[in-house]
Parts: sequence; C-alpha cells; structure tokens
Amino acid sequence: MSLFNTNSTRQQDGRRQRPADDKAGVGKFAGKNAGSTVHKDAHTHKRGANRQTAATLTLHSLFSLHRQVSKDALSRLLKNPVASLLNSLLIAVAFSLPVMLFVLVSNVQVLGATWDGQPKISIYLNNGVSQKIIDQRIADYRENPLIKEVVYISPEQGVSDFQQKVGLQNVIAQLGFNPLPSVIELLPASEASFEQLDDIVIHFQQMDGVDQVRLDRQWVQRLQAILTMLERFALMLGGILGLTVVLVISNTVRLSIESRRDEIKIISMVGGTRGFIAMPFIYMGVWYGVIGAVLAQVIVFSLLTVLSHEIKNIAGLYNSEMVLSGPGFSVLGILLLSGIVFGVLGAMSSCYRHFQALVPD
Amino acid sequence: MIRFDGVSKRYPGGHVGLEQVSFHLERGEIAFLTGHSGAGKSTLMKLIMLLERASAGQVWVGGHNLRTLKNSRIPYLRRNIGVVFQDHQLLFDRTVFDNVALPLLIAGYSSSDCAGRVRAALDMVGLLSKEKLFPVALSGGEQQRVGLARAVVNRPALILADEPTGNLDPQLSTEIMKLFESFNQVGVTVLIASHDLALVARMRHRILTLDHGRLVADQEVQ
Repeated sequence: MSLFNTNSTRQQDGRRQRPADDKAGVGKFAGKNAGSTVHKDAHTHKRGANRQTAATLTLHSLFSLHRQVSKDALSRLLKNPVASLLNSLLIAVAFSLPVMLFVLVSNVQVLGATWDGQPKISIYLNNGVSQKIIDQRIADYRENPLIKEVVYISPEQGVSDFQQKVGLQNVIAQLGFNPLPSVIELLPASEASFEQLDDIVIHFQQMDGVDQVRLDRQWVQRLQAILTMLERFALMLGGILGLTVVLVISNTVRLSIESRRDEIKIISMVGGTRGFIAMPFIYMGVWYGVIGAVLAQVIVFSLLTVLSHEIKNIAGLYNSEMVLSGPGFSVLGILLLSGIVFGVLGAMSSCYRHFQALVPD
Repeated sequence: MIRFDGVSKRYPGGHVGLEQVSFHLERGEIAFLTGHSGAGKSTLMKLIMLLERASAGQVWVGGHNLRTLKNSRIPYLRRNIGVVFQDHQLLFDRTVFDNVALPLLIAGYSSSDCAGRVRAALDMVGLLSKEKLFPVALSGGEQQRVGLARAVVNRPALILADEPTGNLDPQLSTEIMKLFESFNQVGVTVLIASHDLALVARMRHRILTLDHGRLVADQEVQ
C-alpha cells in the first residue's frame, strides 16, 4: 500500500502542511480528508527523510500567503480602476440607503426623547375644593423628584384662557357660571420613564381633592410607533440591499473567474485545493465589500453635511438646540463587517458554482 | 505505479475514449504511449490524473484505487504527479520563476522557502538565467522546458507528459526526451504520450500502442 515512495519526505512534510492547507482553503472548500494518504506513507517510508528541507508551514507562512493573496487581489482591482470603482459605487449606494434611513430615524428619536418629549400630566381637581388642599397638592407635586414643573391654573384663569380662543368668547358668558375646574399642570422630568409616569398617575388619582388625572402621551406614542416602524423598515431595506450587495459581488467575482479559467485549470491540475483556488476570489469579494462600505460612509457623511443646514433650520423653528448626529462607530463597524461578510458570501457562491465544473465525471 | 484493469471510458453521445485497456507500469519505469490522434492517449492521461473518471474497470495509481478516491482528495493525488502538456499551460501573467514555484506554493511552501528548489529545477532544464522573464519572451522549446521544470519541482513520483515535443523541432525534441530520461534515472516513473513514432523508436523504451481506444501492442524494451 505504498504510495509514491520516492516522495516519502515530501509527504512527511505534508503532514505538517495539512492543517495549514485546510486553513488556506476558506471554509468548506478545503479538502476535508486532506492528506490522509500522507499519514500512511509517512509511517512506512522514512528513508531519505533528511534529503529535503521540510516545508515548515507555520502560522507565519500561512499569514504571509494570505497577505500575498490579498495584496494580489487588491492590485488586480486597481488594474481596472474605472470598472472596479463603478462596482464599488454600486455596492456603496446599496449600503448607504439603509444607513441614511437609520441615521435619520435615530436622530428623530433623539429629538422625540429630549425636546419636549415628555407628556404633560393634567390634574383636574374637584369642584369647590378648598385653597388649603390646593396648596397642599402643589407642595406635594413640587416635592416629587419625577416632576420638573408645576403650574396651577385657577378656574378664573382657565376661563380667561378659554375666552381668548376665537369663537368661544361668548360661550362661558352665556352659561352664566364657570364650569371649569381648578387644574394643576405637571411637566415630568426628562429622565422619568413611561412606567414611572403610569405609577405616578395612579398615585395622584388617589389623592384628596383630585377628580381626574390625564396623562397626555398619545402623540409621543404615535411618534415612537412611527419611528419603530421606520427602524424596522430600515432593517428590511438593509436586508434587501444586503442581498443586492451579495449578488453584485457574486456577479463580479463570476466574471473574474471566467476570465481566469485557464489559470484555475492549471492550478487545479498541479494539485491546488478548492480553498487555494478560491482564496484570491474570496479576497476580491472582501475588497469589494470593504471598499463599498467605506465609500458608503463617505456618501452618508456628505449627505449628512448637506442636510445638517436644513436640520438646523427646522430645529430653529421648534426652538430646539438639536444638531444632526452622524452614525456612531457601532454603525460604521457593522457596515464594514457586513461588507466583509457579504463579500465572502458573494465570492463563495460564485466559486461554489464554478467548482462544480472542476469535479471529474 | 500505474495499473489499468479493463478500463473503459465512454463519453456521453456514444464516443468511446478507451475500451478494455489493461497494463501495468512498474515503479521507476519509463514508457511511451503512442497511437494516431484520437486513439485515446489523452483520455488515458486524464484518467490517471483524475481529470476524468473511468466508465468501467479499475485504475490504480501509487497503490490507490482511483474509483474510490474522493473528490476532495484529488488535489493531493495530483501533487504527486508532475504533468507536462503540449501547449505548456503556463501562466502568462507570472514570471518563469513564479510559474515553476506554483506547485510548491500550493503545497504550502512560502516563497522564500521554495527559491532554492525552483532554481534547482530551472538549472536542470538550463533556464536559470531566464527566471525573471515572462513566458511570452521565451521560445517554444524554452516554454516547454519551463513546463518541465514546473512538473519536477515538487519531486513527484510520477511524471506524465502529453505530446511534450509536439511543436518542437527534432533536435529540441531529443533534448526534452533526454531530460525525461534523466529524471527516470533518479527513480521517477515516466509516461510519455507521443505520436512521433520515429522519435519514440529511437529512445528504446517500452511502448504502449493505442488504436481506437484499444491497447493493441505493448512492446517491452528492446
């Protein structure tokens, strides 16, 4: 069962080479049973073991192989700068759309949370409640750490506010009495959560002299519902456009594989594993993904710079100090990571399809 | 080293590549494979390298039954076989050095490790001075010798050559054949497909003759 005994040394070398060979192949393309022939022969044929210098496939040489292959893949892209740039731009546009949407949504979210974002609480007191109880309630509310502002509106003031509204001037006069209750308006502190506010409302409801407590939070809830929906939409858009990126990279890599068909054939004939053959193409996909992600960041930042002026105007109208904040490092990191992952996926799908043709039948 | 047991290869559409071919090539032997074009020489070579699988019969290479060899292990089989082609099959965007270094790179040697071996192989075929050139700058004979250097750089146990002298003049052809003989003398098994009967006869080695896919003659060394 001796195989190629003139070769015994190299096969012994091969024993050490094996793990690296597997690693050199990305994922499933690497031969799983790589080099098991090698084991058998290494045992039976020791002669000539010193004749050849061993190929020490250390982490170092594996690293240098990957560095070399990735460098070659990049220089291949740079050889056709226009075509590569167009492809990368396509990827960048697909990346920048969901990121833009995400940035805008998170900005509006910040806006909703900080700027007058808390609902008002209106406490309607019982009719004819004594001034002493009113003062006591106001003092209670002032002491509560979750309440920032307390405003008392007497029935008389309520009437005068009411009468200022167009068309309602005579309504109260015709009634002949003042139907309005005393109202205490509370503005919760910004750090108070909805749950805390709900608790407060129940607590206030039970206080002496209180008729009804209203928490005006509908508009905040609506805004947040819309924002949640938009956020989901951004994610979905991200998913669809991510698929686009994978397809673009897959197609580009496929074209590259077609143009290097002869090279692949030769490498395959002199014993290159699928992993070895796929490596340059996978690096090509990774480069496209990374360049696309970086370009997408450039696009997003340029658009935000243009938009920030408009945002300032809008914020001014709402008496807000709001400034447009860009995507955080986490978003940029995720973008870069998706670039790499999509690049690998796109390239691997093309390689996988092509490798079906390399199997003998 | 190579054993064929009743091997047939039929292609879809009914074309017969090989029909019931049986022979045994011992370790360290050198033999020629001749026959008219289309007789099945290339098919036989492809079966040994597992570029194609036989339709019937058993092919044994280096003690391995190729029928049971998994696809994922084919690269490791091929690393033990040096191949030379009529059309050289060089990579034209890489230098002579890089072309020869390819099998070593694939086997996991770093480029600094393999420099010595590449130069030794190039020295053997007399092209050491041209290592930095690109294949286009070389003549046909020189390109063939680069292919030869690439085939032997990994010190394979078996060398297959498919019409290695097809495009060369008689003098260059003889030189190439002498190189194959010298590899054989250090223990490498060599199988050369050629339709140049005069050259083959001159070399005085074992000759296997194919005709329409059948092995019609197996002449031992005279």
